[in-house]
Amino acid sequence: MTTRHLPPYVARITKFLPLAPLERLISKAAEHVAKEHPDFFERLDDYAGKSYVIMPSDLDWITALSFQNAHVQIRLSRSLEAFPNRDVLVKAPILSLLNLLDGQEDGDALFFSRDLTIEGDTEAVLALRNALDDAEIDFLYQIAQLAGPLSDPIESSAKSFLSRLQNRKTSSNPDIDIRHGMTGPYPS
Amino acid sequence: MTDQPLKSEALTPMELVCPAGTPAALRTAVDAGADTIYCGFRNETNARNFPGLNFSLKELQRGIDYAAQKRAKILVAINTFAQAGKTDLWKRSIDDVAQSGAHAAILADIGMLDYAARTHPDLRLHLSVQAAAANADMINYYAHEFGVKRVVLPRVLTVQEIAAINAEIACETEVFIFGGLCVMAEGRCALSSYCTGKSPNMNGVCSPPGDVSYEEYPDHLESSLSGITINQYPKGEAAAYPTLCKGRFESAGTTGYVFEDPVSLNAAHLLPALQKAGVTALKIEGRQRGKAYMAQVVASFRRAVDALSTGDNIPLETLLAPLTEGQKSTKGSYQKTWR
Repeated sequence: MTTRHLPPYVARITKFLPLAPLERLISKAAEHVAKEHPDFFERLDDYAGKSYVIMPSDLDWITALSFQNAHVQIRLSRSLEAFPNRDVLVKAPILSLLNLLDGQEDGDALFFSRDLTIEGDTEAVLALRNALDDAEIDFLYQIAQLAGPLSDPIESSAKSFLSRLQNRKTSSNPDIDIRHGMTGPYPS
Repeated sequence: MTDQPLKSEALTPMELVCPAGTPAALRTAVDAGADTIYCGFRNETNARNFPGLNFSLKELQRGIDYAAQKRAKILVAINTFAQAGKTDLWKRSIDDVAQSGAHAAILADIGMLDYAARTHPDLRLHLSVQAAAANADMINYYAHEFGVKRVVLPRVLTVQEIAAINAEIACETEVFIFGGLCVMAEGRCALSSYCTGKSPNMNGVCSPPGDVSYEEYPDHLESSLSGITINQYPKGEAAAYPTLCKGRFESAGTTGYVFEDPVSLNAAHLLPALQKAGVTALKIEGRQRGKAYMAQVVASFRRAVDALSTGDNIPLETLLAPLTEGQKSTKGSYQKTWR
């Protein structure tokens, strides 16, 4: 089992990141992704117009996404109150969210382990999860591409750093012991 | 029945049949070692009709081509029951499968089996688990009348009963070995309909997501279906799907799982016994799951099936526990020890 929680020192550093330039950076990468993955919007279908709010549980910023007209609109905020008209709220550690994005972790398994919680329009959440899982998006690659000639070293450094964080050996959710699972009588 | 592995080299190798809800999942399953992949169209004709899931005809054809490169086969599930006045959708889907080059169609509706057998005599037909064919007479009827070549057995039989059926039928059997576990007879369960008006049998959805809601409270997570509370998970307890059959209710003065606990099927230990019982194919449930599930579950069972020829037993319970509902597994009715 890999760790999905950011170490506190990394979470603390991200508190000082200015949101406006970060929003521009992520939006630009998302537009590249949108152009390369037209099937994603087709699969999302009627749910493209929904407002998805993604809340990394170990960071202090929140992302709102919508996908109308084959474009990705992204807004960042430090407060959930900034998105009162959201249709969906998805909450999980940032590393798990990144793993979901590139298909390294199973959404249902994250839900079973209580690492991921959802509120709001369950149909829209499923549509987004399935569309993302099919799209095979390498978001770190897309972000690194914005760095032009430095894209390769930036991508490999970022991936190596994330890999080290993922492979730290502790339980993903210390509250749940997977050897025992739920309490109560079970069939053998 | 024993958990000791049996050496099975003299027996025919069993086929590993794996799910795919998206083209990416299909490629993942093929790459992980699936012999056969089953999938469905993006409509009410298949029993996993969830938003963002399933295939267009073009995606199916690309999937068939991809699988063929690695000598894998594609099955297409058209396994809901055709709705009155809308049977053209089911018939068109059967026509599409017949022309797609898929290995077989998996059907449940007796009328659609008749249509497929008469209209496309060369189309290989499998009988879906949704048909709930649980005895030799019933299976032989489908095989004789419609030329069904394989039946997916309902998850209500012991290994001994499966062996007895195999001794009396003229077609292949496929059994579930891993994944979500219906505790009711498939194709006949009305619990989801009772609550939401929609069922896997007619609409392809059990507990349709539009009727599901989750609410996070300081000390527990609550899941509801059409306003009916299905479960409350205290902090620290693994969660499960919001289905009525695995809900926790008050009854006779106690609160508990009235129908069944939230667990998934894992019959890894029973592979030698299933092989000895004459089973042709082993099926993994989970078209609604993501690529990560496919990669891990399919690769694990590939190793377990391949190891049968040497008598090796590859333990999968702990390895796959995080992917199972409630993070617990059961051998289900293969070894009946239910309360």
